[in-house]
Amino acid sequence: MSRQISAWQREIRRNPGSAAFARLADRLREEGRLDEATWVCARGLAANPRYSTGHAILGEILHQVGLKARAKEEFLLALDLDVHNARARLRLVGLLLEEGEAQKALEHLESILFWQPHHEEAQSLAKQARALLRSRQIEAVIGPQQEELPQPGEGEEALVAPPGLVAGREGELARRVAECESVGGVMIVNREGLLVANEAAFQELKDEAAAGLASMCETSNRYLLKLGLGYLEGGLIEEKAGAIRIFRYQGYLMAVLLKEGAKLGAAEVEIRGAIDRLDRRRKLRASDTLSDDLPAETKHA
Amino acid sequence: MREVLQRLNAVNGMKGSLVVTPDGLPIATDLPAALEIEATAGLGACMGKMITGWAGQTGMKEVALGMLETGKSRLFVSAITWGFLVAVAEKRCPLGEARLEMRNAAARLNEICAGLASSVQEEESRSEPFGRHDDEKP
Repeated sequence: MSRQISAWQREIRRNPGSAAFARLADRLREEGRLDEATWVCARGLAANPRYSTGHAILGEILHQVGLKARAKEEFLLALDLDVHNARARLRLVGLLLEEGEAQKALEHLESILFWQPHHEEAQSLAKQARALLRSRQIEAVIGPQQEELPQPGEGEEALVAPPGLVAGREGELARRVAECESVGGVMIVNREGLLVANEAAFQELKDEAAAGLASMCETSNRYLLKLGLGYLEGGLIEEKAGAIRIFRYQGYLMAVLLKEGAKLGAAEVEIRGAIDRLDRRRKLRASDTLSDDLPAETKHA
Repeated sequence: MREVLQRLNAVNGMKGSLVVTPDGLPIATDLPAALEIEATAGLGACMGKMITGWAGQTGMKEVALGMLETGKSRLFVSAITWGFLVAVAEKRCPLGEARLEMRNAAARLNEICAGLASSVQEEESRSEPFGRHDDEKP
């Protein structure tokens, strides 16, 4: 008994006051308030990441929620931190038995029964595990379904870049967009994550911000695909004072800073208008080069 | 928390939402079966961190809302006291209403978090030196 108390004392000395969040989380769990229990436990563990019982309780909550893989991770972490945490080991055994891992469950139970041969719960679970092994009722563990993901870069979809956005002429588009009333700054980044044009408030931004934008968009694109939501086309980031609208084109990213108080819908119309006007200008220039022997109707069109 | 999510999900075209910790642990979820909870929580938190991180690089101080859109969907992220509120919607979802409801939901969740934080403090002040670990047998 004195050994137990000294172990607890050691634990409490290591994490003063740490039992409080775990006790509250456990009580919330018992009351079925699992959302709040998860929140309290996660918050407490952020402050006391080496508190074994806290991880065991979080595992129990996650198991109850149905997140078995995460629960298993927490039980294993609890055991890593304290190999004698019987609570974590027993809950891990329960999880292993649910998954049909009777052999592994028995190994854990033997560890408990070695130190506490009369532990009733461990004895009962050991019986269950042996019965499972004997009757060969272990179900094969069904692996997570692997969805086939399109490879990044292969057949990738993104908005087609406007005709005005061409290599070497990006600055012209950036200037046009920056002239809009609701726009406070423009930044254009190429596929390699290099800053190719920046105007107004975004003139202060350096290559790091451009690389950050490219990295954020490409990673988000992969994540959105993984979730089955499709290819990233753009985004919006808002704060109290303003917003940044992001357009993801084939080969380019354009971030537009909207001024404080600018209406999103109106700003979007204005930006698209500026892009369209540049596109028309480019087409007009192209028509100048058409040869005179083309039919008049074609030229008119 | 679930009630807040349910109200958010009532927005036309909203598929589901969840509250996650910064390391992707789902706290409260109300998602359709098609969206796997753990994947959505983990990836949602990652996207939330990336958005707030990049916004910081551009000089934004406090991001109220992030939105990523694809050809068919929209994913909203709001930073809350202890993590992120993540919502998945169809593209047809009205953007103005969704943004407003995201802000309302984030404010409500922050209130709940504040309430829980004070409960933890109360519990800490009540805690006894050896009050717990009855079931732990080293």
